Amino acid sequence: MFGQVLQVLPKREVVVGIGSLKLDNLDTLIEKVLDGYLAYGPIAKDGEYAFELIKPGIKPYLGCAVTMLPAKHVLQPVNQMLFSFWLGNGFKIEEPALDTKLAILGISPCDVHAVLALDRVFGGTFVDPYYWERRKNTLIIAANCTEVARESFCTSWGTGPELYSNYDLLLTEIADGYLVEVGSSEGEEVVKDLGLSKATQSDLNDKALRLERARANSRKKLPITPNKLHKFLRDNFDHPAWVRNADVCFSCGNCTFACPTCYCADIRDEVRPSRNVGVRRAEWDSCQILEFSEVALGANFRRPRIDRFKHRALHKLSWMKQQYGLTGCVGCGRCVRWCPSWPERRGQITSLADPVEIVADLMEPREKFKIERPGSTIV
Amino acid sequence: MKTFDRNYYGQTENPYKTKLAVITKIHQETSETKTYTFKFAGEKHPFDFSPGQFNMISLLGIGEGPFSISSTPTQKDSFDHTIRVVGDLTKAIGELEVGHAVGIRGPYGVGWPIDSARGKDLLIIAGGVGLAPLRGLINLIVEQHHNFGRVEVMYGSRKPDNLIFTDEYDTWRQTPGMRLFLTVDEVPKGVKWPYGEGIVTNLFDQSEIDPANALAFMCGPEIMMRFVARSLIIRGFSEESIFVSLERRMECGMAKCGRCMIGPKYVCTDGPVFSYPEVKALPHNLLAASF
Repeated sequence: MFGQVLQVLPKREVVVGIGSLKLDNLDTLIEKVLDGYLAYGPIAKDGEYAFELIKPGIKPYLGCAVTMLPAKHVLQPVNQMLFSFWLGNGFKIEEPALDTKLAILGISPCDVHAVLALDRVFGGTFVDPYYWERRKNTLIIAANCTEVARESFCTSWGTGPELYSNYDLLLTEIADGYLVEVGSSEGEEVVKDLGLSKATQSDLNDKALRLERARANSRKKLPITPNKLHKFLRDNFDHPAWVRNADVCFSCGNCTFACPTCYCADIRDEVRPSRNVGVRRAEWDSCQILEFSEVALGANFRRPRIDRFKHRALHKLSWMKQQYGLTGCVGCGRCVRWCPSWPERRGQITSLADPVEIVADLMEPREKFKIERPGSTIV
Repeated sequence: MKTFDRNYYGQTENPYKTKLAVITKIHQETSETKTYTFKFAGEKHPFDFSPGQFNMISLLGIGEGPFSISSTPTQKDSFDHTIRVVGDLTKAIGELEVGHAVGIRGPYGVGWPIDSARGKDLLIIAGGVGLAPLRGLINLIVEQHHNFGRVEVMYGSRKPDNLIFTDEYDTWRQTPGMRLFLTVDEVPKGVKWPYGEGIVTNLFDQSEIDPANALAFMCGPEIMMRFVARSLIIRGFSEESIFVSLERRMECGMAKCGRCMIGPKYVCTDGPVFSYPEVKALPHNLLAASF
């Protein structure tokens, strides 16, 4: 489907035939999707929402909520089997089948942008067949955000609250139902038999108005324009604010696990007690964790906490752009929300991991961050 | 269980799948380092690589790690890895015998810029097992020495019995235009050692290479490379003429696992061989030559 050169984004033909439709009742769409796909969507869980398998009878929430974790686990599972092996005279390897048709329902515009970044990470010179087998079998049913969460700053990146391309279907909540926009023939296949009426001009106006309102109400902004960020971060690589912030970071890795563009993995083998049968697995890992860059004999290439703290922030805000041409931050705000420092700063809608806060700190005069405590360049 | 639809997106196979290779020879270099010769089982095509590149070697059930290839590409039907026992995987590899199988995939990364070195003088500096990724290059020069100017190999190690590839030193010394200098940090009492003592930069005074028409390739501990780079620049080597091979933890070799990243560079695919200006542009002043 996507040919060989995956540095280029997968091409989805825009609006085939039927264009915009009006959906009065979500259930008909969900039913239809569940009919042909293993579908994931935001399901209420512990007072939050999580992308989980949609089972009949459990309704996904298609309003505006930043799910606890992004939908990246659908494409890059938390812990996936790369292959199983048998050891004997030499070894035999068997790869898993990955031909299930998947759907991600209610994925927000910022998360779709994150998927586009992951597409490039798992493409390139070496193509990760595990990611792409899932990706090419995945239907993206995105939902525009008619309200931007207070920890999100997608408007600074232009990654939200509205999606313009790279969807199969795009939903927007309007006065009496949902506006459905068709972005691909796969999407059209899903909605064509639902008997939906064509959207009217007033439906389209309603969508535009709601998204305009969402944009206007979004308060959190990056204090610098994205195209100046690279040079700004380079110039402030040794700003003392880094030391102060890294000093109080727990290196728990929450910001990276919750990040929709973080992709680092730990590849390791698991064996049965017999030791001749096992599997090789790839599990999510985090550059924030001390052991991440450790090699034999205990040498560690990113031992100081500040190196790890900076690595994440700079990779998201600047280096991913150099590597893949797309920014590694989409402004979803999950790192803000899931940093352990968040509750202490509740009300300020910021936390230690907050890219907006990190950039804002670097804009402060250097003198403000005099280090009083000795030994704060810490391990 | 079904497998993939053989759809590897323009690749001949799943890039994570390790291939069966058999050990055909083991040579004990030092008490903790051995050179293994491998041959892919049932492989029709010769294994094609460039010195300085690496393979990912697996012992299924224990793990996988990156190891530089220590043979020359002209040795077509097999290839060598020189491995020192330092951790779980290398310890398990150290227990293998001729005929045993491992999994190997590769080659990965960017090797030494051999083509730019042709017709020029070449200074090769290595520390410890850092000589392994340079051995293929040195032996290639031995075979094609008329294509190169003066070649000086400066090799430092902890003790005389930590030196690797000692069997090959005579060949290197006898190669026209090639000279070998050795130094060790420490000579134990009673050991006869006719060569240098101290750090590898102490050997630089014996160099007859003209920095204006030479390249310098080095591999060793980062602290060593930092001082060597500094000394080379003082001696008149341009930054562009210096190349280093970096070491990082890697679990994929294909810019996917994220471990080996330094700033925006992946050591696995952008390196492991970098030019000095490339490394200089990276954060953390890896090889900062502060004067």
